[in-house]
Amino acid sequence: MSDERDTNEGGTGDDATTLPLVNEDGVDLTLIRWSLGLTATERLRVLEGHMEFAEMVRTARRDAAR
Amino acid sequence: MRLVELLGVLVRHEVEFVVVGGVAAVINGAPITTSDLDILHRRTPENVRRLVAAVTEIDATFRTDSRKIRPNESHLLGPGHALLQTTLGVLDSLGTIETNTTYEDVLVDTFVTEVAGLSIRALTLERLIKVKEQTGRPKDLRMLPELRATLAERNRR
Repeated sequence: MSDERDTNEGGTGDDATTLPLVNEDGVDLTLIRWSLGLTATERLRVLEGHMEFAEMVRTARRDAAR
Repeated sequence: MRLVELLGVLVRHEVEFVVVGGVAAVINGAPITTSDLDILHRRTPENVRRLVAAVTEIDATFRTDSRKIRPNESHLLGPGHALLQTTLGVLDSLGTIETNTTYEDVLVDTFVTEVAGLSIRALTLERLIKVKEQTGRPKDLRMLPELRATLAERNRR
């Protein structure tokens, strides 16, 4: 696997209009297609952003409880 | 959590490891979140020496022990899990996964990819799904639908 993005997925082509948005388990497939369209570096940067936000929320809740 | 920076410290110290767990899922394209970095390290004396040097640089201590014990070579040579807090975030350095599966055992189910200019070895999505199925912990089972859907979507493309 390389760090190159797959340019076939963007969710805007004709194919995207016929693909299911959610699978039988309730998983949002549009998020998965979006993620697969990113490079590995971009995926980890997104994750870092989520981690940072979660830490901000934890800190805010801790401060509010004081 | 400075994830990429943490990976960079390990790579700079030439530690042999495989990214497993949630971060491996993300590298594989699964849109999930996690709060730590799980690695399976090679348990040779040379590699463990490099790993100790790497985690010492980022002030790692066992986060489950209030005495702030620092990991040493004897801690990391064994098959257990070192649950660490570092200045760059939470790092779980695992001697084995599943039932005594080692770094060498899983190499066949790994791939190397580039992350921010670093060559990072990660577990394949197929093997990660098997690991989560076998572990059977509620948090692992909750992740499975996303992982299976990611694999199916990737295979469809």
